[in-house]
Amino acid sequence: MSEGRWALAEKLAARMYDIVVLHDEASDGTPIYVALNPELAGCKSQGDTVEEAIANLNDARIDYIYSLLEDELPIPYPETKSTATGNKANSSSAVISFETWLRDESAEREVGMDVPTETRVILLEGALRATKAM
Amino acid sequence: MVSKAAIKILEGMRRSKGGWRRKDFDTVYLGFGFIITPGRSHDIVKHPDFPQLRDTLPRHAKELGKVYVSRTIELIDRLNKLKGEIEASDE
Repeated sequence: MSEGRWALAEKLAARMYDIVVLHDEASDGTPIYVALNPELAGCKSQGDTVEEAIANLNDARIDYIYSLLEDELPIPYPETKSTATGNKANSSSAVISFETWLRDESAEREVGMDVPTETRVILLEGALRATKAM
Repeated sequence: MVSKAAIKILEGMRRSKGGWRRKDFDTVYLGFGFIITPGRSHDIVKHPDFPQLRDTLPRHAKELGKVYVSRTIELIDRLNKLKGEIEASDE
């Protein structure tokens, strides 16, 4: 597993995706809550309480986005067009590819495009850590 | 070739959404050609030919919600539809 890709998945998963919580029933009849992100088809989790379901969904979203990155598939933008990290979203498109995100982020952080992708992800991870620490 | 066990469980899921265990979900998904890859806390279900068909299965829960049954049925139906469209275009 790529640590750089995990770091990127965590960052992308921190964006403000819509959350829907459903009251459901487990297979043994126990009442539970299922939380899902409608913008990420199939991304969901469950818990005994609303808070637990949302916390588990936050973990599931990282795994889900990691799998999209791994398969080099577009990562849907949150429909709110805003992000938890304060980055500006691409207003012309509802989805953005990993490569597009990487290009835009690299430009913003002045990481050269001639640097190999994996190295760029690691560099961006370092830049993100530095930003968080500020 | 879809496994008979997968078809049988799927038929059962269509009749009733209660009583299914995690291994039943695995049998259906794997039987219909999906692959299941582990994440940190959840497993990701995806189809190698149709990457838009995805699901997440929590590893912390022994008993899954009925929403998971609905999603499994939906994904298999979409898979069959996509396969049908490809077969029709090949003819």
